[in-house]
Amino acid sequence: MTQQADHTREQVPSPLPVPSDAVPPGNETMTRRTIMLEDGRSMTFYDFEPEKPAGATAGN
Amino acid sequence: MSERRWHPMLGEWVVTATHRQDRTFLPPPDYCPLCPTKPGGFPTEVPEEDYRFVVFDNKFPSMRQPAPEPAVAGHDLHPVAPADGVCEVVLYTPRHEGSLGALPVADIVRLVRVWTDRYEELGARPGMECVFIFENRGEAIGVTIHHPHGQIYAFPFVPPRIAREREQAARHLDRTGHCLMCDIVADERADGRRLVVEGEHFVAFIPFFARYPYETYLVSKQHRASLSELSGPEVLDLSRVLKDLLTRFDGLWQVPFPYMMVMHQAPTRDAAAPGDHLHIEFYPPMRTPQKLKYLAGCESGAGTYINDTLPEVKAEELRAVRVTP
Repeated sequence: MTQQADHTREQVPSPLPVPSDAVPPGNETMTRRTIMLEDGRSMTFYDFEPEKPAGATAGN
Repeated sequence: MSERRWHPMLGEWVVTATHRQDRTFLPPPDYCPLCPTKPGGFPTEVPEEDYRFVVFDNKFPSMRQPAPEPAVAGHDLHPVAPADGVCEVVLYTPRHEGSLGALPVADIVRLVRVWTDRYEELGARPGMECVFIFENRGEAIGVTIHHPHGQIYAFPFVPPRIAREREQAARHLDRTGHCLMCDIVADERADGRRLVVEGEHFVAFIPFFARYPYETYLVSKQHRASLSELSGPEVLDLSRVLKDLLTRFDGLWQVPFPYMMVMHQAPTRDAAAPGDHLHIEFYPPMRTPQKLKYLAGCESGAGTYINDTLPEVKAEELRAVRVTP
């Protein structure tokens, strides 16, 4: 089974606070990426990244 | 072959899904179809080397979009309809071992966000009326793949169990002016004997009317119709209480505790009704470490449950389980 199409990663709104007892504290942004499998089924990958501080740019 | 057949005596749909007879059945860990596909390894259902959370259409769905036309012709006594709907699988972790309750709280928070996203995405699809998030855990429930995962169905109708619950809530609202679940939560908290875990925003208890020995409800203390209405602190508290409860289940007899976990929240086609109140129900099938609570003649044939235990006693057992943060 292989993927046929890879759609643009999209950001899901509303970051939520992450508990400080399990991972570094701070807000996270959830992103999802959907691919289509050969048999026509869809598969969505969810990832989480720390929210970038305001004003941060690439290379900071 | 899959279709909906109307049950004229009960006034509800039955879904046929004959292709599910051929679904994967208890594969050895080395051939788990839900693990990531490793370089040089056999191709699993997930064509990537790693993932955090993955949601995908079930390979053996009982409902699908678009649904094929029914294989049989219906008539006035026996209406049939296409088995329109969505059946998704949610993988909690790329690791084969583990469980929902073994996830760190932070990962349960992330999973709740995934559930919320699926609730909103599937609920917005044309024709879908009810998004149903659930997990079957353990071979005693009929689990066929052990990799930690749950499921999400989107129905083009409100299933009868949820419809009946909403009817009762509407009657209670007419009679008292109150949300039924809000009143149940207030009563359980005032009584206290059946409480299992209480957080700031969520509470878990074995209800006064429990049908299974360890049937447990996890309920929002504030009136929330769905996951979409939860604030960040509420999601965090839900995750903490959920983990605490599942840890108590596994700690009770020091074995993985089988359960059915089902989430009830507002249907999605119309605005939420005043009595829609987000909650998760757990139906553990065991009454002792070795004995199942069977849904036998009286339960299956008459619809009346016989509970051989008292909720007050079973809640005390779960409260006594030592849980370390």
